Amino acid sequence: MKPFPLHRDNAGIEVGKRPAHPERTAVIEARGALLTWDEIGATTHPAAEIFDPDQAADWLWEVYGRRNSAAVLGDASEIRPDEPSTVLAAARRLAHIRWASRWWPASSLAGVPPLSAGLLAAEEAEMVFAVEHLLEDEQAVERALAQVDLGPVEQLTGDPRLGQTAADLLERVSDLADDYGVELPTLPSGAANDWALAAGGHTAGATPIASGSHAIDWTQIPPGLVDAAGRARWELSRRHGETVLTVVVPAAPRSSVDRPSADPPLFAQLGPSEVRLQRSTNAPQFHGSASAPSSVMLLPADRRNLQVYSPAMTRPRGVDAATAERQAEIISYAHRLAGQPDALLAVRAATGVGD
Amino acid sequence: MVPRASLHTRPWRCRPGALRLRCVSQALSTNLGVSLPRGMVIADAWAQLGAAVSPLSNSSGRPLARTVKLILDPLILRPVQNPHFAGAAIAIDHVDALRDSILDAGPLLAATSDWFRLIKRARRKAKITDGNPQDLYFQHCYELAHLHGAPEGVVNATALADEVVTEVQDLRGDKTVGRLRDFVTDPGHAAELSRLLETVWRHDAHAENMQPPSTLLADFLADCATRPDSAAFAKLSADRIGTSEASELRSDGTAQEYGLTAHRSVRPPTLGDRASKSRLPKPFDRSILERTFASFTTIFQRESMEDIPRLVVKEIHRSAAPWQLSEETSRVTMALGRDASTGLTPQTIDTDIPRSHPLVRLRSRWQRQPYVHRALRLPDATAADLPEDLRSDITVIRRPYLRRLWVRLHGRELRGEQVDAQTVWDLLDGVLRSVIMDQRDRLRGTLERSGEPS
Repeated sequence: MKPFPLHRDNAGIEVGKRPAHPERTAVIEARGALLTWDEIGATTHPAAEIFDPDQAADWLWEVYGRRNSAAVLGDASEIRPDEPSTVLAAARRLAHIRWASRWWPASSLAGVPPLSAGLLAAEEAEMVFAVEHLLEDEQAVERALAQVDLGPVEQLTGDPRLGQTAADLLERVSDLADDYGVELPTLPSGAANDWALAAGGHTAGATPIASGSHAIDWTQIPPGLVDAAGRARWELSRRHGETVLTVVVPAAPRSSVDRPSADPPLFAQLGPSEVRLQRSTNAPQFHGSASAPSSVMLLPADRRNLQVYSPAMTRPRGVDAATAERQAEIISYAHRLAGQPDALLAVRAATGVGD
Repeated sequence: MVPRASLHTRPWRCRPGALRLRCVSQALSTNLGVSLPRGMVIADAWAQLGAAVSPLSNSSGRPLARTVKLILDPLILRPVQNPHFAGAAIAIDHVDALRDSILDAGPLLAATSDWFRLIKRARRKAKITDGNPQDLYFQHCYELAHLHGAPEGVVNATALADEVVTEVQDLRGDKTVGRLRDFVTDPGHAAELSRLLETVWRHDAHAENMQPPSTLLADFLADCATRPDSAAFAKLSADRIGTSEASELRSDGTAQEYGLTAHRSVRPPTLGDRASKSRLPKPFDRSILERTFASFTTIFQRESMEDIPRLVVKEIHRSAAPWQLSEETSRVTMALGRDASTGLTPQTIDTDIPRSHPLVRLRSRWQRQPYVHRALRLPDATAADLPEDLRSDITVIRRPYLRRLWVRLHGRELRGEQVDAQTVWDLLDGVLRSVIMDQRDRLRGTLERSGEPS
């Protein structure tokens, strides 16, 4: 296995390096240390930032092995991780579930099916329980259970391939809720949503002047809103003597078993113009148009960068050039996961891979 | 029942500050033959107890965090009485003794597990769903196991389990809360209680003399995370430094700045006639009823609780006391929290302050949050749609921090749990953890709710 370099400074001990980008970071806050995995990096062992070695000593040996944990807390300059323990495997899986619930690149365009938030939450609660002894949050199990909605799990119990696995999960999570005194809601599931793909935005009676498309930065919008492979398309046109900016963004497919949720607000900015995007009723997309100052026309082509953001998440921050490339890697990672036998139940349920 | 002990006692006898990391390293690595991590020794011994203790274990077979906190530490290992069982590393000479303590307690722990199963059944039968059963019953189960052994051999085991469930529920349930409200709102009592409230608040006008400034507070704070000095803490309390430090709350705006009241100047509380668990006002703005009510919604033990009239009268006195807390140790802790939380403001920190100083530790925990929030795809503080109260709690986290610290200390006073030198850092750090986790839940909540029509 690849060695992890160790770095010690005034702030603590670093084991390896934290991943560079949030959308591929899987994270667990352990007692005394932050554990991070590069989600698509295929490493079992995490990088760690140990800020309280006293507390971390309690469990560090379960993550890196007994000899290694002594070396980390001692004065070694690198470690070579041992075979993973079951506790480490559970920690990795928990971090993976949490990553999937925030960054899973559901996309109709790229053929990545959406995951059920209800299934993910149930699997998360179960994994939190497996590693609660090393988590920093003393209420971690209760907090995880509070997100669970058993409706989608219950629905899957009727599935010929995954029914038994779902039934077992249902039983274990129900017991857990009982043990922790948390009442789980079982709400009626949502109805299936059979949206046709694509469909474009058009502006009737308008004369197009300029158009383009841009990548959408996932970190500036909430999960589950926009198609992960989608680009924001814009068009400037003249209509009744006015300059009009029209923007269309493909919507993410939504899991048919979860309760439908409301959409956080979505905006697009092009230079000085801002457009509020609404979900279309007749196509899986968000669209909007607004009159734009004619100065937009004067923007040089390289500054006609459209950016999509949600004011529920952030102030618009600009989109860096490598965004699309990073996202493509994550999308192909999701494709690879779909075929794996140890994939999450939520992934198997969404992609039709049985036991 | 044996008093609870802190989960992480730290008896390190090394020099403070930057040397600390090296000291831990020595204990754990170069001296690997000389000491082992405490968690490892406990995990190894626990594994030998097997399935008999599974109700006290998680699905990886480790003792639950609450098993360690409520049973192993305070009732079996008792690090305060057995200092060689305390700390992050156990000297090799004591490893066997620690393991044996756990193995010897095996039958008792197995019986505790069985009682816990039985009590959970009794709870289901009684259709009780609120409250964490581990918090509520773990120590009762241990007590039952201690008195009767395993429930299998006990004729009236089911009745005993029912009794515990009923007793706990009566104490924390609607009945007690109703009695509390009836007592405070009863016209006969209300007049008398209002008079008392006026009297104690008038007396408060006679300010206590300020102590001359002392470095004692700063010295204790600097070391409390690494080698808490019990003698220094005792002296802080004996010299009434916490009381003296509270005098600044009399100046306009200070208590408001600390997040303890919504008003420029501190006002006497009302008696109150209603209280709910959620949306409580800021600590100093809570009515007497709201303050007392809080004690019924968290874990507490019957033996440390007072009857209702005494509880209310004490709360009235407490409301007019420095920091609105009764115990000098609580007031000292508020003063320590106030000073430690200057690290939670944009103000720059002197680079000479060592890394182990609570100020620096709290700040670095706080400063890690934006990174974690980005990885968890949560809103950042610049998001235009963020509710203003949440944004200000995030940007001026010192206020929710001091608020939560007060609530914790107040809760401990109601439960009769003393703050000692060893618990100070756990409190100071634990409060920030809990504030951060709550903010995260609220941030997630804004995404889930933001699309709903308001």
